[in-house]
Amino acid sequence: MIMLVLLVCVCVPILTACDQSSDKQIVDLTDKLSETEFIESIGIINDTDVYYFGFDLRASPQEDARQYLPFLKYLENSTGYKFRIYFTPKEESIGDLLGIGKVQFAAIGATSFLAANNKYGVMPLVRGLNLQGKAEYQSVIVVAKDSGIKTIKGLKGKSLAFGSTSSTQGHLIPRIILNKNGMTINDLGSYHYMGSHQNCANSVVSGKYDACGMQDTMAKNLAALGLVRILHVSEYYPSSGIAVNPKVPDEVITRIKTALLEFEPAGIHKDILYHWHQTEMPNGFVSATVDDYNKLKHWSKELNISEHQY
Amino acid sequence: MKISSKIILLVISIVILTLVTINIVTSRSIRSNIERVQLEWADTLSQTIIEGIVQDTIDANSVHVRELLKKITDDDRAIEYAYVTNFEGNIFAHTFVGGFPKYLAELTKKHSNTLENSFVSFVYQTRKGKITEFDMPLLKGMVAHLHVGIIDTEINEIISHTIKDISYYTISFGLLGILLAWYFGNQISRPLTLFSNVVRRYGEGEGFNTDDIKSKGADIKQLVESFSSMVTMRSQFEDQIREREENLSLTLDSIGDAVIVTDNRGFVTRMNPIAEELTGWEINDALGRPLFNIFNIIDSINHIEAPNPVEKVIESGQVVDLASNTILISRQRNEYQISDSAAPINNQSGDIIGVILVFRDVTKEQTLQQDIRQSEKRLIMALKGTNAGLWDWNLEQDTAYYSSRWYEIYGLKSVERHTQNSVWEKMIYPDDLQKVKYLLTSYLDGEGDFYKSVHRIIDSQGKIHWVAEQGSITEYNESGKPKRLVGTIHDITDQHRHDEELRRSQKMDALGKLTGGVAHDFNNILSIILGFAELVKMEYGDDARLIESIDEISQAGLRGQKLTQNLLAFSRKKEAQAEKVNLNDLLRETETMLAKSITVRIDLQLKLEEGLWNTCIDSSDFKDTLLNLTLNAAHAITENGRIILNTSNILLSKSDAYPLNLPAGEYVVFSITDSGSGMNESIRSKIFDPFFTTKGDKGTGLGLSQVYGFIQRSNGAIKVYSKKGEGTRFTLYFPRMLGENIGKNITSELLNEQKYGHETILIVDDEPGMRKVASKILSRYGYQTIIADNGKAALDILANTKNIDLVLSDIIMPGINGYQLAKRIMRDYPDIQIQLASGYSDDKGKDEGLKDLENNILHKPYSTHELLNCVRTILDKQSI
Repeated sequence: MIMLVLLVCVCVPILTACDQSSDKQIVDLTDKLSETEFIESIGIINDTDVYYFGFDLRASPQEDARQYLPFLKYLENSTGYKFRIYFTPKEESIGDLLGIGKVQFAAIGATSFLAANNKYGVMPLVRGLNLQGKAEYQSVIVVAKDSGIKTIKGLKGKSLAFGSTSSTQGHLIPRIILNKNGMTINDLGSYHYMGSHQNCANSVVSGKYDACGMQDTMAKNLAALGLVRILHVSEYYPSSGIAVNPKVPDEVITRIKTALLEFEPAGIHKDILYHWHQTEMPNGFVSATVDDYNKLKHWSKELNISEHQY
Repeated sequence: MKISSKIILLVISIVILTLVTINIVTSRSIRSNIERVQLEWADTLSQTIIEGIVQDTIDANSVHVRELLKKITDDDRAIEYAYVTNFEGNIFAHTFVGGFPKYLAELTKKHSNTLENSFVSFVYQTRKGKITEFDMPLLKGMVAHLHVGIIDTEINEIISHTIKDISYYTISFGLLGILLAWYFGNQISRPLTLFSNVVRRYGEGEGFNTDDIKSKGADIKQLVESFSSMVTMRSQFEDQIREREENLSLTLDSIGDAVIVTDNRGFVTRMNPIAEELTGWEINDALGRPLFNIFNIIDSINHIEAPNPVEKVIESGQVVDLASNTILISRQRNEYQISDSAAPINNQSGDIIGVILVFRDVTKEQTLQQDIRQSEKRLIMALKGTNAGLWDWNLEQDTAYYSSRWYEIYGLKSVERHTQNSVWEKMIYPDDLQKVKYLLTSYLDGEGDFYKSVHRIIDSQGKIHWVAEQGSITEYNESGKPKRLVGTIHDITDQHRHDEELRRSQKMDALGKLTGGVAHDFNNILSIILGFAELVKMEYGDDARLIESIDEISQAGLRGQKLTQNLLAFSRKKEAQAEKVNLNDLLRETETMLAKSITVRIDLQLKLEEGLWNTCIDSSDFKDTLLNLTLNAAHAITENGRIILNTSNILLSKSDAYPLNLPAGEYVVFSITDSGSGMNESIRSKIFDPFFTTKGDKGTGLGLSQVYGFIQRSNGAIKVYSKKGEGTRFTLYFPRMLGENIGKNITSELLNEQKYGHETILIVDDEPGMRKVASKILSRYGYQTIIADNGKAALDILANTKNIDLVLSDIIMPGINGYQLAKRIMRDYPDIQIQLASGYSDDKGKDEGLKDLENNILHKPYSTHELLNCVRTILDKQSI
């Protein structure tokens, strides 16, 4: 009986000790920030030594983030500066973000650059080198694999998807292709702006639209997978590159530019990258000037495609 | 406590433990599972949410994001809140109503830089419950995060419900278990209770009866059967033990010694009757007592308490013997001399479990041993006192034991261990061997009560000893034949010599008496012859032819006188004229004379000790002795040889003096040693016998007899050592004289020319001739004479006659002798002078009052002149 009493005496404290209620400090979640305090707490970039690098979404945020983060890591290691990705919100343009300083650097297409350069004085740093090592790229018109459309002219009366309105490969060059094939967008049955090369390709793969004007590398990949058929490949035009907000200190620009030019995505830096060959700069960068974009500037004007008149 | 109760308690304990365990395990398990699930769910949910809000977040569409978050939190009660931080790390959208919590704002700000790649959870406690906030990046590697706070109230509710359910079921089943335990416990405990009662009753001696135990349980049945078997075996063992115990008790009781057994603490556990008797304690009183209570022992010598043997055994673990001088004092204060030993009782492991003490009353034995020791001591003392050797002869094995004294006598070493009795036989003097064997054999054949033999032995050095052996048979074998002969041996060499000396002395005395008697009678005859011859010469002095014949008669008489003197000298009856002399002086004086007496081929040597003591002897007798011995020595040397005369001082101890029949003391020793032919034993034993001679007709045979008489008169002794072919040595012992000359001058030369007188003289002599001749001579010279033929007659005459002036009496007379007569006269007639006359002196009748008379005896045969001088001198002295 004594043992029983002892057992009870032992067990009760054990049982009570099983209460997982922590003796931690009680947090009062009802103590809230005022409106003002909340507003003050947001919109502040806490880290002044962080440079935001803007990118337009291409495939998906996850894929793009996965693709660009190692690149930014390289820049961090090479320059010592901290970088963060900033994807361009849907309703905004990368050129504006760069121009207003929302981002300090951005991977920007020719069209957007020209607009930004004109409006904000955004400066080019480098342009991407394609797989052949040239700072030029192409666009392609893709159709469904089993599409009956065989030529550009066959697009007449068909639906054509573009990427973003500000996209060079996704809009300007496809429009140049149409133009060079004696067509305008008005010759199309319909045309739509999908916002990204991926969306554009998806619309064709899904059969929503008959054709899509998109980035060449992505299109070639999709074609290799048998998802699309490349209808037409454009001429080479100056590739897109990386531009910088003019308010970024020169020394920062210099260091970053140096790092960019030393970037060898097909060489020594290959292993740290993810699907970099699918980007518009698979072979690294070359120094860029404003004049590099004169041809495209001409066609933009010709086709009246620039985001803003520049 | 009953088994059933124990089982019930056991079940309750199990239930409680189970509850506790379940509580702990379940709550932890559930909690961890739920948390894990929660984590997975949160992850899944987050992934789902993120898919939907990433683009909106990129697009800064906070409203849409908030709506989505709100929808989720509303749908799931576990989600307390959700909020998104954008790619800049700022709070972008949240589900909080009324504002964003400060705490979370701070937390976000703090962790904004650390959240880029991580899936993090934070736990904090609110009043509502514990919140786990899961933070997941919208895009991996980017600061934009989805924060979801999940509260555990639901978990706790789940756990609580689960535990309640489990507890409910546990308690329910526990109660059921208790019920079953009670039932089955009773099923077990009841027969066990009955069984334990049976066992208890069995233990109380009531016997073993399992009829009441009815259980279907195989275990109980087996238990009962096993116990029954054990009971049976136990009974058998008990019977065996009882039997052994009885045997042990019988054995102990039968033992003639006392036995006490104690446990290993020294307390009594067992005693036998002998122990009871000796200690005075009955077993019932002694049981359980410490040993020292009932076993009171003291040291018999100092009477102090003896050490407790049991304590010593327990201490040492060894067998302990008590000292032999231990006395046990019984309860009734009786004392017993005991002999005992104590031994440990060990079990199989070697541990001491008790002590056994065995002792017995050895009082009688002690006494007997003491008596034996005393007897042995006495025997040893007796042997030592008697200086006897002991021999113990095993007749069958012909082996013997000899004591150390025996070995001394035989000159053997005791370590040689001559056990064979033939050794003894070989050492017997050959001439005595046959006699000894005869005596021994006769005794062993049954003649006589003892074996006795006096014989000679030759010791290991070749020395002859006289021994006296005596023994008796102490054991007979089964056939009745003597088996063991035990006896003693005494070295009686000294005694024998002494006895021999005594015998010689007695023989010489006897011969002396014989010769003395003959000499006395012959002296009387000679006195008569010579006396009457003188008378005739006086009366007929003119007749020449008659005178010539008378002279012849006188010469013959004188020769006869000489012969009698020699005989008297041998018989010691001659009166000695002892005086203090120094033998060295005498020897120097006579050296020339001696040398002339022997031939020149014999070398005479004197080896005289300087400072030689004086002695009291008759020097002329010594000279005669010296001459006799020297002539005998010269006679023994047939060719060239030597004679050595030695003198020395010696102190004779009692043992040295004894063989010589002398008292111990200082002696002057004279010895004469020759290198002559020596004598054998038979001749040596006779040399002092009168008339014994080896010279044939040339010797009278009285020379050495005279020497012997001289020695005796001088209170000395003579010892002869002779070896055939080597020579002879005579050793003479004379007592040392310390004072002045006290020698007796018995015969004094009285010079008195007056020969005539007129006094009346009573002549007393049993010899008629002597009376006559004395009377005639005295009468012729004017004296009045009265004669008596014996002492009595003389006394009669004296009583009746007055005016007798002198009594001239012979000494040796029948009846009253001369000394007795003289005494009577001196007493009764003090005025009357007395002159004694004798042919030889005799000790009989001498006393102190007659010394003068003794010293002035008129020796026969006396001449007329000597008679007249003597009478006149005495009568003249009286008148003075």
